Amino acid sequence: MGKVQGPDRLGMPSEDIERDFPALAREAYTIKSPEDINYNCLAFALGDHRNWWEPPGNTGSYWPDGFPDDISVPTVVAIFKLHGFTVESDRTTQPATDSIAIYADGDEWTHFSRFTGGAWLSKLGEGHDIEHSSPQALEGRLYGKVIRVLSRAK
Amino acid sequence: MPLRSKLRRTHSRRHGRSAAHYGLGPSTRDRSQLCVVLNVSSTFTITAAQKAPVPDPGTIARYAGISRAAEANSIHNLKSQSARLRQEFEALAEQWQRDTRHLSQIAKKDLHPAYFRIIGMGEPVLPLLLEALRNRPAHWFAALKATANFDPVAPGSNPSAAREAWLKWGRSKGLID
Repeated sequence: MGKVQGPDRLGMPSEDIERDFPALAREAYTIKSPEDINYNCLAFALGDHRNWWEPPGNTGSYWPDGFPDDISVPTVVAIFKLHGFTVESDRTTQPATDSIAIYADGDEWTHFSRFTGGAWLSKLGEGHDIEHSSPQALEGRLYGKVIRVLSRAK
Repeated sequence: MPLRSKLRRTHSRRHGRSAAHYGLGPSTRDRSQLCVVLNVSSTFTITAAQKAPVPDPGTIARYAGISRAAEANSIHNLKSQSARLRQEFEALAEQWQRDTRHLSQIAKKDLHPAYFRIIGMGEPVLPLLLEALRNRPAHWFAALKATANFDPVAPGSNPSAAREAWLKWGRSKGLID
């Protein structure tokens, strides 16, 4: 099992995280926050902890004006570019600037990790924020593969 | 032209039938019914004599009391049915949480078979859903909306505000503490 550190009051045991993300169990990761239903990984990647970013149709979701109501990769890339993540980076090396890793299953996005301050961070659905050593640690059945990394310009 | 004549003429023109065909006479009540049959507005002046009598306060209070008692009885029955569903609900809720907790899209969470089964339990599952929402926040909103056939959440609310709206509604209905 990976080294788990973090808040005492955890809504979900680390075993459940490692069951969904087996690669995490082989490396150190840190739980950084309690569970929170208010925001998802897309919101978290953009620094928003108040809204659940998802196309309209569900109670509690938020979607920026002017973008198609879909979960396609091109749509979300357009959103990230608007927020300054414009440079395509290598998926296997550590980025030099703040970046976002896009996970997808086919043409639809499934998850995002944010690279900032030299660490990869993720919000796991309704669950915790975690810090992990690489974006690949979350690849698998639930999130598919990292298909692109977008970075801010130097 | 007097309204009654106008209505009868309009109706005859449309349907080739007179008001008498429906057993409607010249009374105020019949005139209102005729308006409904003809799908025309009854926006004409109603004199004081034509207005329906207002029940006295005692009658209103008596009917309100009956209504409150019926509602309390209905909530009691709902909770009894909920109690019988509790074990199955908790197993399904746990399965749904385990399988979807880390998904990033509500739309995908809501497609889980356990979530459908919970919605299929119908209105009696409402107290259990509200209890689950209170005890461990999760995106139960679609299931609540489907089983309550109602949505107390203001448009544009984030998940916390939606949760508060549902819990407030549940408490107001006596469905949860």
